Amino acid sequence: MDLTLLWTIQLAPLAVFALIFILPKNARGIAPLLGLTGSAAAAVSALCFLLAHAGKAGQPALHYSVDWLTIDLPAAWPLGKAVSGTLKAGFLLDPLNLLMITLVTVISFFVQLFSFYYMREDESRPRYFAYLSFFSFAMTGLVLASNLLQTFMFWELVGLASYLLIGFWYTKPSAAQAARKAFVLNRLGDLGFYLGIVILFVGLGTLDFTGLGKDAVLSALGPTLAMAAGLLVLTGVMGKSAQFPLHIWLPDAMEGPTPVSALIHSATMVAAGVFLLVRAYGVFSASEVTLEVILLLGCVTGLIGALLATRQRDIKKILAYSTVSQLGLMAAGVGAHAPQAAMFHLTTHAFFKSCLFLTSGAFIHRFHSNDIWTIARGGGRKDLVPMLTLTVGLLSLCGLPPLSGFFSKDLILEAAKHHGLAAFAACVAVSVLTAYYSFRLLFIVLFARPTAGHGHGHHAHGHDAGGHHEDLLGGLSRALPLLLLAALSIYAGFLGSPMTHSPILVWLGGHEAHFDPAMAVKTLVIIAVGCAIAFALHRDPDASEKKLESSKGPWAMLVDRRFFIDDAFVWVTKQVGLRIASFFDLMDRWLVNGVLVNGTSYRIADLGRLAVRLQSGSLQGYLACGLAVLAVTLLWLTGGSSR
Amino acid sequence: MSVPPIEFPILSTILLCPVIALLAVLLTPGRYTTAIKLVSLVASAATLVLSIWLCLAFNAKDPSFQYIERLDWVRSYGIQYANAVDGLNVAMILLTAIVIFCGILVSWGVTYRTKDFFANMLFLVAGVFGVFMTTNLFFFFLFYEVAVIPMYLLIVIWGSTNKQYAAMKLTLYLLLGSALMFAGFLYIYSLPDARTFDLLAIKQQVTFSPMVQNILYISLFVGFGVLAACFPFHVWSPDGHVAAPTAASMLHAGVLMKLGAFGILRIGVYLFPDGARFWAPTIAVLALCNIVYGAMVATQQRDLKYIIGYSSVSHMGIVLLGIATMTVSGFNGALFQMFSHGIMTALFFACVGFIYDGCHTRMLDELGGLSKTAPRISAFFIIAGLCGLGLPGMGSFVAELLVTVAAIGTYPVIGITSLLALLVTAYYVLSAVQKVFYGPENHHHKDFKDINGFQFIPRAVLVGCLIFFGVFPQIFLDWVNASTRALLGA
Repeated sequence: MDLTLLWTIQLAPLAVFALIFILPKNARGIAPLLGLTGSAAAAVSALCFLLAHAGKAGQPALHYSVDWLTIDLPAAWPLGKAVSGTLKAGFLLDPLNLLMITLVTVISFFVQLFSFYYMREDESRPRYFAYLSFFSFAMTGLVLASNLLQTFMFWELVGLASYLLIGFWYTKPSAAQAARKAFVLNRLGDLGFYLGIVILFVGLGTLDFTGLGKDAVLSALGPTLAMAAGLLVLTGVMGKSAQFPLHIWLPDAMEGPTPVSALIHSATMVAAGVFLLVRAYGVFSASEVTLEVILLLGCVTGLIGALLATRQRDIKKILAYSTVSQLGLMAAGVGAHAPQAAMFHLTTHAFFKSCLFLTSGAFIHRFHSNDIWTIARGGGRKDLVPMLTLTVGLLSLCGLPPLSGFFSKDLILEAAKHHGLAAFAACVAVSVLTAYYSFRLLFIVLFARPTAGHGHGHHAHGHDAGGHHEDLLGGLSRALPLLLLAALSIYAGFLGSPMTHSPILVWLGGHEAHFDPAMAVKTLVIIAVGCAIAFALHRDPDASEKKLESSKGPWAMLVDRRFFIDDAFVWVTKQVGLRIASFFDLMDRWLVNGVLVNGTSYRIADLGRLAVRLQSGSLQGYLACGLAVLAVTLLWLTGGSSR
Repeated sequence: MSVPPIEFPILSTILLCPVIALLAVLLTPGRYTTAIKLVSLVASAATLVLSIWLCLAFNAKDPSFQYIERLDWVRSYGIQYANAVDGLNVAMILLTAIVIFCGILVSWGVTYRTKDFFANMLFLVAGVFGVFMTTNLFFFFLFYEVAVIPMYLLIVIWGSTNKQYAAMKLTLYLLLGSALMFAGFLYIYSLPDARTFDLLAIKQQVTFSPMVQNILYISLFVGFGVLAACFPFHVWSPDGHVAAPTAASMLHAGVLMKLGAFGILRIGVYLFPDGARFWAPTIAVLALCNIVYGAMVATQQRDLKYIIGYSSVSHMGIVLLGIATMTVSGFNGALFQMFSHGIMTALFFACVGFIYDGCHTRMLDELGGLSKTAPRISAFFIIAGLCGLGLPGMGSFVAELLVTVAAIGTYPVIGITSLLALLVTAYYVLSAVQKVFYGPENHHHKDFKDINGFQFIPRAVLVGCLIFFGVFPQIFLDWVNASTRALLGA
C-alpha cells in the first residue's frame, strides 16, 4: 500500500506530462485539467502517507531499492583501494523527506490551481501544464531518492524543468537568455557536486543516505577528504539554492510565468539545496570547516539578497532577492548546527513565499505590470484578496509573531546566537533589512494615490468596470490558492512553536524549542526598526519613486549593478573562457587543419609538380636520363662483380 | 527473460539482409523509386528485428565468442569468412541496425538518383556489419574498405558545403588509417607462429614481446584512432559530417566512428594488452584533448552541423578516455558511450538535415525562433542536445558517469579536468538552442513545414532508445560486462 502511494506520487505527474504530448491537438484543451488531476493525485497520496506515518520519529517509514548500475574499479584514487559497488535506485522515506514531499505536492497543487486562472489566455497552455507536471515528477524524485546519485539525477532534471519554464516564453530573448544562464550556472555548481559524489562513492562504496552518516564518512575518508567531499557537494547546493556567488541566476529566472516562480524559484526547487544540506547532513557535519563555510556563505547570501531587494521596483525581483536572502538564512541555520530549524524555516518560507508570489501574480495579471508603483497607482489596494494575502505574507516574512515566519526565523536567530556574535549580527541585519523591504512594498502599495489616467492601471480599471469576465471558476482559482496559502502562512508556525511542543522539530530528530521572551522582544524591535525606516522613507510613494530614480550615489550604483557579480561572471566567460575557445578554434583551423593536414597534401602536390617537370617531352632529356641510369647501373653491377 | 539460442546462422543472415537488398535494388529500374525505398526499408527492418533477437538470445554470462560461423575462403593464407558475437559487438550490431533503419526512413525524401543513393547506403551498412561481426583480420580489413568507399560517393554526389574537399579528405584519412592497420595485420601474419589471419588463433598461438606489443599497439591505435577522430587526427570528421547528406551523416557519426574505437578494443587491446597498458597514459592525455578541446572549439562554430561535428569529437574523447583507463568500468562506459553517442548523434543529424532541407541554411545567425515555426523537430533537436550535455535519464549520462568514475580513479588530474567539458558542453548546446530555436521567429522561414507523422517515427525510435538505456543501463552493462572483464583478464 505504501509503495503504491509512493509510485503514485512519483509517476502521476510523469504520466500527465506524457499524456499531454500524446493528446491530439484538438483535445489539448483538457491539459490544465489533467495537470490538476495529476497533482491532486500526488498531493492526496502524500497526505495519506503522512497521516499514516506522522509522529513516528527515528525509524525510516520505508526503504525500497533495486540495483541500478554496477561499477567496479581496481585501485582507485584518492584512497587507492578497489571499488566494487552497486548503485541503487529506490525510495527512502523518513520524517525529513516525508515533510518535504508533502510540502512539494501540496504547493504544487495550489500552483496548478492558480495557473488555471493565470494562464488561461495563453495559447501555449498545454505545454505549460506539461512542463509543470514534469517539474513535479522530477522534484518528487529528488525528494524521495534513496541515495545521493539518484538525488543528483533528479537534481539535474529539476534544473531542466526550471530551464524549460524560465524560457517558457522563449520568443522573448531575455527569457531565453535567463533560461540558459540558470542552467549553466547550476551546471557549474553541479561539477563540484558530481566530483563530491565520485569521492564519496570511491571512499564508502555506497551512496545510500542510510550509509552517509557522519561517522561512516569520517572513518572511510579521513578528515581532509571528508572536508573536501563536503565542500564539493556544497557547490551543488550553492548553484541550486542560489548561494553567493552563484545566486545571480535566480533574479533573472523571474522571466518565467509567475506561478512558476512561486513553485520552483521560491518554494520548492531552490529549497532543494537546503533540503540536501539536511538530508546529507552527515557529509557536511563530518568537518567543522564545511559547516563554517556553509554558515559564512549563508550569512553573505542573506545580506546580499536583502540589500539588493531594497532598491527593486519590480515586485517579482523584490520577492526573488528576498528568496535569495531567506535561503541564505536557512543555510546559515544548517551551518550553525541547527538543521531542523533550517528545515522548519524552509517549510514556513515555502508557504508564505509561494503565497506572496501567487499574490504578485494576481496583481500582475490584473494590472499588466510588474512595477510596484504602477500596481499601486492602478489601485492595487482595492483588490481585496491579494491585498490581504500580500499583507499576511509580508508580515510572516518579516517574522511578526504569531505568524509562521516568527517561529522559524526565531530558531535560526537563536542558533546563530549560540554559534557566535558575527553570525548573530549578520542574521539580525538580514532581519532588519527584510522588515524594511517588506514594509516598503506594503507602504507603497497602500499609500500610493491612484491616478485614473495612469498607463496600464487605467487599462486594467477599464477592464474591470467593463465587466472583466471573471467567471466563477476563474475567480475561485485565483482566490482559493491565495487564501489557503495565506492561512498556512499564518498557522504553519505552530508546527514548531514551543506552545505546541514543536512536533516538527522533535519529529525531525531535534529538540523541543523553548520560548525565550527576550528573543521575541528582539524580534519585535527588529521589525519595528525596519518598519520605521520604511515608513520614514516611503510614506509618500511618489517622492520615494523620484528618489529611487534620481539617486546616483556610489551605494545606489553598487546595488543597481548587483555588486558587479554578474559583470564578473560575464567578464570571466568572455575574456577567459571564450578567448581560450577562440584560440583553440584558430589552432584547429590554422595549425591542425591548415599546416598539418592541408600542408601535407600541398607538399605532396608539390612533389607531384616536381615529377611533372621531368615529363618535359624533350627527347634529348629523356635520352640523357636513360643513359645516365644505364651508366650507373652498369657501374654498380661491375663494381658488385669485381668485389 | 530467457530466449532460446538461435539455431540458424544469425550473423550471416543479418549481414545478408542488406546484401540481398542491395542486389534487388540494383536489379530494379531506377524509375521505381518507391519499390527501391521499400526494399531498403524492409531489409533494414529485418536487420533490426534480427539484431534485437540476437541481443535477447545472446548469452551474456559467457565471455567467449558465440554464434561462431566459419567458412574457408583462402585456406592456405588462413583467410576465413568467420563471424562471431560477444559482449563487445552485440550492442554495436544493434546500434548499426537501429541507425540504418532510421537512416532509411529519414532518407525517404531523397529524389536525386534515388536508386544509387539507397544502393550506396546498403553497401555501406553491409560493410559496417561485416566489420563488427568478423573475427578474421583479413575480412576486417576488407569490410572496412567496403564501408569507406560508399561514404565517399555519398558525400560527393549527395553532399553539400565544400563536399569534394571533405569527401577527399575523409577518404584519404580513412585510407591512411586502414594502411597502418593493414601493415600491422601483415606483420602479424608474417610471424612464424601465426601464418593466419584468424584473431582467436593468433591470440592463442602467438606471444608478442613487449617491444613488439608496444609498436604494434600504437600503430593500430593510430590507424583506428583516425577513424575514432582521436586528437590530432580529428579534423576530417567535422568536415565530413558537414558535407555528408543527412542519412550518411547519421551513419558516419553514428556508426562509422565507432568502428575505430571498436577496432582498438577488438584487436588492439585483445592482442596486445601490455602494449595497451604501456600507451594508456598517453592515450588518456589525447582523449582529454578530444574532450575539452573539442568542446571548446564547438563553442566557436557558427554552422549547426559543425557544432555537432565538434561535439562528436568531444564525445568520442570520452570513449577513448574510457579505453585508456584499462578498467572494466572504463571499458563498459566506453562501449556504452559508443552506443548512446551513436544514437544521439544520429538523432542530431536527423534533425539538422530536416532543418537544412526546409530553411536552406544551417548558420546560427540566419535561424531563430524555430520552436515556434516547427515545434516538433525543435523538440527532437533539444532532446538530442540534452542528451549531449549529459542529462540524467539519457544514455550518455550513464556512459559519462562510468567513464568519469573510472578516469578519476585512474588518472585523477585528467579525470577531473575532463569534467570541465560538462560545463562547456552545456554552454554550447544551450547557446545553439537559444539562437536557433528560441528568440523571435525569423520571417525567412515562415513556411518551413514541421515533420509529419511518418517522419516522426525514426526520430521517436532514437529518442526511445536513448531514454530506455538511460533508465535501465544495467541491461546494456549485462551484455558487455563479461566480455570486458575477460578482455582485461579481470
